[in-house]
Amino acid sequence: MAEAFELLVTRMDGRPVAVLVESIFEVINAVETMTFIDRPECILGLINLRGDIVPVHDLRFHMTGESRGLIPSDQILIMRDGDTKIGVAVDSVETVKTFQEEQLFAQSLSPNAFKILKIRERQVCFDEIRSILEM
Amino acid sequence: MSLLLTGTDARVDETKSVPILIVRMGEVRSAFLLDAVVQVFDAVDVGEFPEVPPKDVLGAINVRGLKVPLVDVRRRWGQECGKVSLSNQLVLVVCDGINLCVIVDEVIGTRNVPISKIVRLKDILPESSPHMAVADLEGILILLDADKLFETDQLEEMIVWVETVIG
Repeated sequence: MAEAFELLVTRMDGRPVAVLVESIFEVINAVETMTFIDRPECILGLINLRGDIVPVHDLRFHMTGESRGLIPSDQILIMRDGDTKIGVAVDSVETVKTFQEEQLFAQSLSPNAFKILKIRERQVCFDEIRSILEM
Repeated sequence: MSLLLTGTDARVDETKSVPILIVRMGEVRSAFLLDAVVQVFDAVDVGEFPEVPPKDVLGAINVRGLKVPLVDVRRRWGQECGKVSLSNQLVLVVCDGINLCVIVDEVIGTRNVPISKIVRLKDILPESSPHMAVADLEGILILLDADKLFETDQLEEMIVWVETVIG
């Protein structure tokens, strides 16, 4: 039987970005972040999530090299990187959708195919759809 | 400070805590390990110097015979910097064996924080950072590793400059 993948589809700057649901702890509304010394440009700041200190990555900066900070309508994906929680700010969360393997394969052939957002060793990475099909 | 949380698998004694000095820089709270702090005093006018100071140095002051660079790390917090206001306070800290005066907006006070609550920023950030953070009821407190506040060559440059301007 063909495998199915549950993806959370988000939007950043009008472009869809998908995340494997299993890699997400939760999604929260934008909150004020706290800056820190020598903050890298790709990080908007830190948040205190019920006692856990979570860095919030700026997905816009990762995708476009530009930043506009957080606005109230933004959302933050709290993703897992081992036992560590990493936040990623997106413009909006659209839907959670189950894709069959064939659907994803077809999507991967499209010139407008979405990227798969992943966290690897505390870094934001973008993989092609094929990467999850090959897992 | 580095002794507190060295290594990746260092065991942390849940019952131990460390005293810290909490300061305010603009809107944010930060802290130094109390062991690294020598003295706190009110801001003084540093005047003008004939030699251009190194980056992030506002001047040089004499603290009971110690010739100390007055450093401003507010730029590194993305804050307005470069001026001493008489409402500021100065924290004399030992940075890698060298005395430095760090300008802050306000010294808030001291507190003990459990070592088990301290998070190394390098464990959660994509880039390495020597500093740490503690979550508390008011948000997040950034715990600065005074020893790693500046690179060795920066410290040497500061010392040479201080010697030049106030002998």
